[in-house]
Amino acid sequence: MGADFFEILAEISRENPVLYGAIVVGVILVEGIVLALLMELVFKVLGIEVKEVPHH
Amino acid sequence: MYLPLAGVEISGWLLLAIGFCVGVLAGFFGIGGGFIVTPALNIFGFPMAYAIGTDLSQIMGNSIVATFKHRKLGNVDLRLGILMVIGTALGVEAGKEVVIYLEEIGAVGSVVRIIYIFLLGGTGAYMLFDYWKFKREEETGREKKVVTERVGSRLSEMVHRINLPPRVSLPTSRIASISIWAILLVGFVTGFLAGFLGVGGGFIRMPAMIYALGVPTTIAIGTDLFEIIFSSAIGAFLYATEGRVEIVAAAVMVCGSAIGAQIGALGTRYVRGMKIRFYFALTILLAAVSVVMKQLAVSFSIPALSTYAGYLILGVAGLMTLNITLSTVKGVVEERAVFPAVKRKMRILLASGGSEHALRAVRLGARIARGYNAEVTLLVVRDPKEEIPVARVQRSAGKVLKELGVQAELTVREGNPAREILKAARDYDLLVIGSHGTKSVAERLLGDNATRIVENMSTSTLVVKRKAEVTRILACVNLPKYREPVVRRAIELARILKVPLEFLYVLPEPLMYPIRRLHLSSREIMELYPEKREAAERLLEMARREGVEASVKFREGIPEEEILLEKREIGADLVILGDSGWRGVMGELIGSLSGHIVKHSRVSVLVVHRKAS
Repeated sequence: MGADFFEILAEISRENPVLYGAIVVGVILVEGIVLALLMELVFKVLGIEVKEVPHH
Repeated sequence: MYLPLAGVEISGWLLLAIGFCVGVLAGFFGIGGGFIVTPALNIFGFPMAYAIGTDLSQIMGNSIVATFKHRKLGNVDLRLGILMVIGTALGVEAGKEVVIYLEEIGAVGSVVRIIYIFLLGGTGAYMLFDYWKFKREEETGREKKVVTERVGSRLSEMVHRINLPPRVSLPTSRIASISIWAILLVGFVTGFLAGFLGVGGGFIRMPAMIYALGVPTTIAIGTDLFEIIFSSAIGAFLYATEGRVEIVAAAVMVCGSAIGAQIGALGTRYVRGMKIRFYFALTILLAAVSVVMKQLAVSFSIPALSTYAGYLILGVAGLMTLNITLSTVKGVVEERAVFPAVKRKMRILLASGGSEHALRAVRLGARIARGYNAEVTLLVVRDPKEEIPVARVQRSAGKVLKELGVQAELTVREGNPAREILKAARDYDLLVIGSHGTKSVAERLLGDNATRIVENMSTSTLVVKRKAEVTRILACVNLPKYREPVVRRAIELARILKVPLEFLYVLPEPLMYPIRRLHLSSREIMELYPEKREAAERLLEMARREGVEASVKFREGIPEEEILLEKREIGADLVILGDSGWRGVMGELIGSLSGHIVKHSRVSVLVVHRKAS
């Protein structure tokens, strides 16, 4: 299953490079945002409060 | 896992670990970390083009996570970031054109490597020199105040003076006014170098923002990360269209870096600006050494040297990650010790008898209660000897509370006011009372009701005197013990009342004759007691993190006298001190420091009880 998935991605990159480029940027963008929000949640649960530091 | 595009078999855990390391460094230094991940992936079998493409993709994800965190910390100057992106984009294009030209004349390889070495080495050496200079000035006492970072340089002053309209103000970066062209120029130059060298350019942009634009270190980090999102996204897309990105490897690394970036970004909260510059300088200097090793490997055909260069940069990244992680954990633990997580609402008791000074106490108490979002109780004590109309007290205090938008519960007691207040305040976190000051001879000798209450109280007590307004706070601390409740309350109140705060430490005068006081200045005390100075720096850092403008002063002498003198000198209208005096019989005989200050101070005094949390 995992190997098939990797092969499919490799196939897309060979057949349609622009689509592959868009997939890479899209996936990483969504992953980054989801992980950033998830981390916020984890820190909130852990009780590590992150406050804005005004820079005088 | 097997990655068919790059034709590499690699452990997912290893990718996670690399991602974590680079995440910590990216979050802490505001760099993409390309100079670490690319050689690491290359060492573990990725062909160079795949290593770069995959690295760019993970940098993009990593910088998104780190930028989120820095934005939350208030470290991203969006206005500056957007202007820099424009300048950088133009610069990258120009840099690329020069590379193509050099390629045509066959000189690209050596020129790029040599400039790379000089840039890494030069920037690292300059930052190291700047840190050394700062430390030296600190030790020789040229820095008169306790400071944690020096912002601005001669170059940045020159850049700020460029008088080419339009000009823009960058309040987040503390820049009142700067020409847009100056920002675009700095962006262009850093972009040109990045495009020329084929790197993200974080290691050039971050110092450029600090030294050329005069941006504080932490904001340079956050803004640089914001910019890296765009540059790496373009790079990732271009490499992916060439089929040089292993998306799964990049996605796994982003998971590791997401955790690392949190630690790194949080680390900027606990490590001083100048220290960050020192770590950064060390990292890029060692990166320069690794590039020199690679160049030698190519020049003298020693492939092993290239591998060692990779291990060197990996070792540096590992050690730096460990150092930053430990500093962050230490900082979180330390902060928790001073500002423990509050599980319930604070309870404040406002005692009022309807007089002018009692109403002033209600006003200041209500402002504090609003800041803490506290539960408030208004206490009226009916003294059988004096007829107090409760309805009138309730009406006048209620008007003040309503004006400030604070809701309070009313409690009425009957008996001796001092005794009833003492009894009622036991269940509260803060008692606020008014005082008309010592008027009669008896009060001057024995103290008024407020003094008696403070000396016998087991709850923190705020005695409000002539003014309900506070413009400056003086907090008396016992260094090097900076974790005391008095520090926490002082910082919190300065934040709530939005006023500057001065911490005062009084070095007690020797009591035994013939040893007399040494008449030491604040700076001399700092030099004599480095542990006190270090603690003072921690106080300033804690205040800064809470957004409070703070300073530290040292005095030598009798604490009671020095506190009152300092209060007058700086014009403080609220004195905060810990309750550390004698109690019981001893207290009755010799009195406490807090009692003395409450009795003799003409401005409001907050006595923080030692068990306050």
